[in-house]
Amino acid sequence: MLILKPASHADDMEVDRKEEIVTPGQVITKDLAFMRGHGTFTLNEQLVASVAGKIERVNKLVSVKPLKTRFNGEIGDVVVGRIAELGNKRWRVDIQGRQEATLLLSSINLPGGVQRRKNEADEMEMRSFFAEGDMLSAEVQAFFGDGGCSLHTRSFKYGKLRNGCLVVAPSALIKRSKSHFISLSCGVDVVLGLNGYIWVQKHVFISPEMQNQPEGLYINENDEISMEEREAISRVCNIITALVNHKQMIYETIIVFMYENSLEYQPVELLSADLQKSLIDSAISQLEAAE
Amino acid sequence: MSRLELITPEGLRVDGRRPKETRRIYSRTDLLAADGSSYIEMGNTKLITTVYGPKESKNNNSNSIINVEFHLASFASGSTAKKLRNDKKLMENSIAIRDIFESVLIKSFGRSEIDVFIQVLQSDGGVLAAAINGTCLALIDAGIPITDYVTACTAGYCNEQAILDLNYIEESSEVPCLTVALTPKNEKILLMNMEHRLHLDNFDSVLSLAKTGCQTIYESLDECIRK
Amino acid sequence: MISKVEKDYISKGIAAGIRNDGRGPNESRQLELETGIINQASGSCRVSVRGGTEVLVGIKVSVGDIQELDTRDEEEEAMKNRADVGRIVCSVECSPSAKIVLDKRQIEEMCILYTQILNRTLNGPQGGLDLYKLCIIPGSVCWILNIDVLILNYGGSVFDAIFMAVRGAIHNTRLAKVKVESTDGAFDFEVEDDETEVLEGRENVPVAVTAFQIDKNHVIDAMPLEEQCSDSSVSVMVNKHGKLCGVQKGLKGSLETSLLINMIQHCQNKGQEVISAMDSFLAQEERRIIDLVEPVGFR
Repeated sequence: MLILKPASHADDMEVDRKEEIVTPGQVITKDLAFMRGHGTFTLNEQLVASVAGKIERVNKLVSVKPLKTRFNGEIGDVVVGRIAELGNKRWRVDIQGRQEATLLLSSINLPGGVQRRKNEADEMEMRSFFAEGDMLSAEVQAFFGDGGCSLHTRSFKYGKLRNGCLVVAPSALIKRSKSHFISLSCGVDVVLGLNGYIWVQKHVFISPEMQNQPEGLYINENDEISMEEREAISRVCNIITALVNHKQMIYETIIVFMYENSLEYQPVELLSADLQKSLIDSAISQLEAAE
Repeated sequence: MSRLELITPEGLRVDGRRPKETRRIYSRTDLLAADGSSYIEMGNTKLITTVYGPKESKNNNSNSIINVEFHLASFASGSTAKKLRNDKKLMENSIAIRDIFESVLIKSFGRSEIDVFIQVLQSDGGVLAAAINGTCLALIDAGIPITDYVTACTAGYCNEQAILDLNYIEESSEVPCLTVALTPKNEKILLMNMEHRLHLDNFDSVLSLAKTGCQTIYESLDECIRK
Repeated sequence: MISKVEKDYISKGIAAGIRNDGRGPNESRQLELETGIINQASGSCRVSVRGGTEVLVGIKVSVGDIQELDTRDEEEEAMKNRADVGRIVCSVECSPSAKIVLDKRQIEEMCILYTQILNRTLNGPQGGLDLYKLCIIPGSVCWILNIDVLILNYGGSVFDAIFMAVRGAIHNTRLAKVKVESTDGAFDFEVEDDETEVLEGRENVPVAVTAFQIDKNHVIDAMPLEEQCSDSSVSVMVNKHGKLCGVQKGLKGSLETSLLINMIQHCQNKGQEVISAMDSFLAQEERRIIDLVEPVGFR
């Protein structure tokens, strides 16, 4: 059935007023004791904002965090990316950032054991590891001089992603937390890439024995996925989309609350704007009550 | 055809404004799924600006560069003249906008580029000025660091007075029209175009009026961003 | 770009009857539609699909010569020889937001393709509009409808949204009344500014429904990832009375006849649903305009 609704004003969405907002060109402080962080620059011995956002002060470091920006990673960040192209002993990975990231051949796990050294044959068969279009999870290892980052998948929790689908969110909405690999009780795993790519998949149980035999690291096929599992995956995808549409931070607890609240509806009903808003509101009030 | 009276004896212009009044400005950001976007209305001139970037540059540039594309919808202008894709005037506008914003951009990214697309939905005078204001908002919405806002406004001279923010009727008559863009903090001028003839004596008053106009617009844009 | 496992996930899901966002293969996303948002245009309409696609259509009506066209195109030649009809000229442009999914050449090809399909479908009796009424003075002067489509955001199923917006804009278009006088066999006409009328036949303008084939099944209102999983698509233009006004196959794959007929039938049914929902909505819009309520536009 086709649903048509009248257009609504953008201002209908509530945004809480922020007090410490600065806009580009605004002077933050004249005190030279402060060091400048992201989003600021010095002019005539004054610290001036270069983006619009909230001021953050950490000891002597002053920075401005803009509301929206492309992913600016730090070492150790968990990201989800898509292979864009194959290069010389490396892959270029799209992470929705300022530049494509690099995954070096020397930074991945090779089948046949951890200790195996890479040889000529590996380079030729790079495509059998990661081909163009493949999705993967990885960690930021280092930065190059021009600002691009280098990734690695040297731990078993990282690697090729399958059995699920991708949801795209602005990177600013992903909350930094201890773990970005979430297992929900409904049998759905979520990988919250800090760059805004979120992978929702069927739960995969990795036993300790499997970790020592990485033959199956680069399988290109999905396992059997039942109808219930698909419904659960689509439910979680729609919940995350709802959070994105309403500009809410995305993290484990809010997803869990919203999931429980949404069980009385069909996954497809979760696409409606009104239902999304009411689910988010109730989850937020649950969170506030829990504090 | 009788000559339109641009300013009545009571001091009102064609659309009822006073000489030094700008048109009603409405602006908002974040309307499309792009890195940054803005919608701006200056009177009846309406346009959407979208910004993509900073993103991977296919050319090997060491500095950030901005690519600007200007699109004028066929239904945008008053006449039904066929829209020329490669209209030189639109290209000139694109180059102007690129130069303006590359100078306020803080060069901290390597090998990346920023794409700016301006889509004019309705044109009723002051299109370049509105495009500059829209681009400024969209860049800020995208979180791209710049040293200051850039606001722009048009001003002209008619019947012995300087007038602010010309609409299409005023622009298409033989009134001299000055478009000015500046950074509000230090009032440095980044762009200045003028059409038709203006006596040097009157130039100052027109220019200072344009500068005031820019400041007014700056306040309005700033308010919009803060929301 | 899409990975093998994503393709497999999507196609197995569709075979089981469930898509990535929980919809069934025949379900479409929620839409917003608004008419009359561009004052300077004779008619306009904006359609946004929840989840991405946004299309804006503006129509400018002008008076032109019937013999103006100078073209080698056969179809246009045929139209040119009709000395007693008006003309519809369409053009489709895409804002570069589509560059995220498609590359430059694909975008250009897409725009050219859509332009041609629109021109073909609307310029003729299957387009619904009464083109004879658009003729002012037979053999010399007629009304020309310039329909300009702007794709603002690409989120899949763009063609369907375009047609819907075109239909909405046509519904919204007002034509000035024309008085034709003849003196000694020579005709002259005068456009009356105050009185306007709607376009005759606007309720018969078709809508388009596009189905994308994925393995042995098909989906309607596809999302960009689903489009990338598909090898062929069928767009069906159907009008209020259930009549087919145009069929177009897209993409590079080949289709089995039985699957093709199946897809066409599904689209036809879906099209009827779309039209009836649209018509009741457009009636609401008319009331809003009469009540002088301001449209939201892009605010």
